[in-house]
Amino acid sequence: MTTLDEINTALIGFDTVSIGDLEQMNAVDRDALAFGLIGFSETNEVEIYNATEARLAGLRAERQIGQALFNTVAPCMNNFLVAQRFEDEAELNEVIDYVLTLRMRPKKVMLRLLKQPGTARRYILVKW
Amino acid sequence: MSNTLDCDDIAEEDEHESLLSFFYMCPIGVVRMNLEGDIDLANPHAAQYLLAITRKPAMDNFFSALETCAPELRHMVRTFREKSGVICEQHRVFVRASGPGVRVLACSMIKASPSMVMAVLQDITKQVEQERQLAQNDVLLDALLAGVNDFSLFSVKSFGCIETWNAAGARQLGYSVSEVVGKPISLFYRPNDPSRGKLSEQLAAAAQEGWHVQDGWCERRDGSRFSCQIMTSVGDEHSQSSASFTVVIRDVTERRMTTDELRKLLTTDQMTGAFNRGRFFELAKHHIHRCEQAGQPLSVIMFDVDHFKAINDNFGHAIGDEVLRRLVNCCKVQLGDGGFLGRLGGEEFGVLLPNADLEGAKAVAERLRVAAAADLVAVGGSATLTTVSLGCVAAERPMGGIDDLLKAADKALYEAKRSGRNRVCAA
Repeated sequence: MTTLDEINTALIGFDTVSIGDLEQMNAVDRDALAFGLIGFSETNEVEIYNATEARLAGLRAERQIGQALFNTVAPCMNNFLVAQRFEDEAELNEVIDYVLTLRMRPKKVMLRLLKQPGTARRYILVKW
Repeated sequence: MSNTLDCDDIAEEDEHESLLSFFYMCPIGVVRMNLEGDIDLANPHAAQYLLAITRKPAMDNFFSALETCAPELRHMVRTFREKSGVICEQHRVFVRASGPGVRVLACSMIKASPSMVMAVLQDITKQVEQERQLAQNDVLLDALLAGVNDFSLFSVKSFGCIETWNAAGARQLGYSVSEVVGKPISLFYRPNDPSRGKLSEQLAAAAQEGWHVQDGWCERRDGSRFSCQIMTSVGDEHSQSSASFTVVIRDVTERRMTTDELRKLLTTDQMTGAFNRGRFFELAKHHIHRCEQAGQPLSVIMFDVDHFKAINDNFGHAIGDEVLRRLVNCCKVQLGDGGFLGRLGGEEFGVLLPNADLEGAKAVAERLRVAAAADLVAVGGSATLTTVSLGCVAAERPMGGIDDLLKAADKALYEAKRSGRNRVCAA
């Protein structure tokens, strides 16, 4: 039976959720999100990897924590469209069209890039 | 459910995840596509390479993605008739000419089945750069050794006889192989060149130090010679014998000329060809010291052109300059190796005479006076005789500096002028 919280979480918009909201969430909430969620540190280490993303990628969430995001976990994001932007720009809140090779199948997705001055953690949201 | 089944499930899940991880991390791009190039499987690295080319995320069609830099791939697959096999191996795809990141990819394509192609993409930018560097070096080396007549390179046996010869040697020195192999390298020295006898020394020095360089003159087959640098080094990989040397003769004529020209530029008065003031003083300092040490006398003459101002005023500076030039030439002939002529002022000259006492200096001065007076300069249709006045002085012990000597010589010169010009006076 879905709780009110779960319904609320499911309604949280891919386009609208803020970094603040994301920071506030607990693990259960994050796992209930309808989109993939990756949270990573200033040094690009994975800190958050929700269940949705794990299902998408075919990887166990807990195994990704502490790994280098752009080198190991999501190497196809290690380029000027994603990784470089987190390097170059002080603030990010943008949705871009992308193609991921999740489970080696090219998949058209939308990525939301989130970075905010004052918040150490950065986020990538994945919606297909 | 039995535990064993659960364990199998978990094991398979593990295995599956491992495989996925394996492909995610694969450091080369791997793509599976149909014969039309439509991609159905691709790993992250492949996506990266294609993105580097297309600049937009798109992974629909392999050939379309590579169209801008490898349009031939589609055709290669289409025309590959076999049911399976290697379509291409390490086929080079030039993404762009310069800049950071991927510039060259190697693409290998394999027809895995009648309807499926596997493609592998690798970044070989660094490798290509290295190859280019090596090729460049090869070309440079080739040009140095074979194509240019600046160098001869040949090998010589320990007793100094030429062992191998090449086209450059023939070009530079004019000898064919048969004329040269077995002959000693003293062949290239001039008959009266002291180095001719030092051949064994040259080889011995090379043997001891590993290599030896000397400057000298080299004589061609036709007797002409050129300024050269001879480098002798131990060992030659092409020779069977161990006691063998490689000799390189470099034509340094141009370089020598440049150094000579430079030296001249710095020490000579450009217009007349006499030594310039600075050089004259240097020479004087040196010879004064040497003569004092050796107990030898030393004298100085100072002279100038009589009525020079009038020559310039009446006939122009071009004529005046020509007068000076002719005078310098005339004096140089008279002096030979016995003295040094320097231009000290506009029309004022000094002569340094090491090893000459006052009597010797007076004799030289008289010769100069006579020669200058005899020299005719055709000026405006009529002949004008140039004459000079000269003053001489001999250095007294202890020898002072050149300034003192010139002062004294100048006094004597003034006296010569005052008493009628075209004469020699001694201090």
